[in-house]
Amino acid sequence: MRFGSVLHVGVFCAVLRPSTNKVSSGHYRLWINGIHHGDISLNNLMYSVSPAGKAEGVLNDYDLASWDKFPTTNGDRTGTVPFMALELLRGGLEQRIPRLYRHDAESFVWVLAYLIAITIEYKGHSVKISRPPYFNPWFRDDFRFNCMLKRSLDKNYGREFRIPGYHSLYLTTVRKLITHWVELDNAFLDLKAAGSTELETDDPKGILEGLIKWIGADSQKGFAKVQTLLLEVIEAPKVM
Amino acid sequence: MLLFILQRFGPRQWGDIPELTSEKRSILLHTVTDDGTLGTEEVNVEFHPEDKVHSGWSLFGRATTVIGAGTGMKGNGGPVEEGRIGARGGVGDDAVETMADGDSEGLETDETNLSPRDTARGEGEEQSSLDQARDAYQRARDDIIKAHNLVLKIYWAETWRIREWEIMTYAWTLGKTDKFIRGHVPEVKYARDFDRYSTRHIRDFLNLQDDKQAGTRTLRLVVMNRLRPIHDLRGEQLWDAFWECFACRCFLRGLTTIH
Repeated sequence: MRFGSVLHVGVFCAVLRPSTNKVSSGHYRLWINGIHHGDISLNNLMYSVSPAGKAEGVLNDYDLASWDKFPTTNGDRTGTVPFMALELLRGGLEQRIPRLYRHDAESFVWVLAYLIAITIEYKGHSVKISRPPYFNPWFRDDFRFNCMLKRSLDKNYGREFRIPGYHSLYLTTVRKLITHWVELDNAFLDLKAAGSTELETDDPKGILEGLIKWIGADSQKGFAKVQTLLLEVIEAPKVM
Repeated sequence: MLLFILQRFGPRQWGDIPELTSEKRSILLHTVTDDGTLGTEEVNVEFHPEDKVHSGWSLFGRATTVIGAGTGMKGNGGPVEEGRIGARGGVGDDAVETMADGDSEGLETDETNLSPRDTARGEGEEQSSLDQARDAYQRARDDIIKAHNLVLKIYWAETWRIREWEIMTYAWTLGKTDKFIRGHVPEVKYARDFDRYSTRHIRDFLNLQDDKQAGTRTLRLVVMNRLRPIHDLRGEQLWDAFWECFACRCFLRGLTTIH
């Protein structure tokens, strides 16, 4: 196992460590007052051009979002199936798995993997997106097969299909990012297999810290900037 | 008997919504205030059905459709030039900005096991024509956005959910002081629920409602600033924009509660 893998699995196992006092909120870092997007997909990632001419990423489409300030009694499952987190896919649509930050974060990774692999044809003002056939099962109802393909995607990424030349720079980075998330999924599966029935506490900070540490152990192109950004995000003071 | 009933249906009973006819092309919506409520003032929003951004027509679900819109006035106070957007791009019936996830077909290039180095080889000429097509596309998109700088989102929202404009306004407010949100959430401008088309009426009539009204949907119109799909970007620009979305503090709001 690589150094980075050891680090992140360690961090995430620590995140999942059973609480010694269930009553104490000290062990229960709730994600309160949060806006939970709940539907990370390619169509919901947009950009706008700033007055200075810079492309700025915009997270769009909040019609499936939830907000802790307005809790609902409906425990619905949301998300776009092709980019849904492995755990949610495994659970199937009928199971009410609690929505956690790591699920949305993982969806981002699947979107990125897809985004880097697709090719785009331009015709006038419209575009046609073509994906490698390898991704077709992502868009079908066979969630288990979708899950299986995703879990082996890092090994096949850029090998079973071609990555457009203008994105090949990020191929290895994306591949490693997928590995990171699959190993994280394995860590959670191991805990379950070990008989852990503890209700998982949502811990976005722990997830990001794990990602930052893992990135720190890697020197792939593009990761240094990401690490700086995420460190800033974690360390920024509370807004309101 | 069924035919007898159906022949008595007028356009409205068949689901025609007179406020959204393509002949009228404008609709009165309310301004979304800073606290996320709807103001009493009504604003006339022009919409352009031929300028489809997203089309999700369906008998089920939210059936979200997004089309180009504007307030009828451009920055200089002059009216929007109708038909101008067709000059370069040719907005037609089948012209949709992007295809929805799952609509695209297989890759048209060779699917054998190739390394990135192989991929790059021999792509020079192809790349050049692709770049030209991409430039033309970007120019056409610029023209469209200049003509219709807003989008009108029409969908059947679940009434038990928080209204989208409320959550967006809150996110926008957070962005005033948080640089990780500022510029990374859309700006909602106008909205309105058309409750007279709500499924609540038929559900009440058929006694299908439960206490939570979980199955009720209403016709919701929301107007936002117009954005561009992230896949229009490439290389470092795409990479940076993607991680900006990821890092958006609105999404990571929980981090602010644990310091």
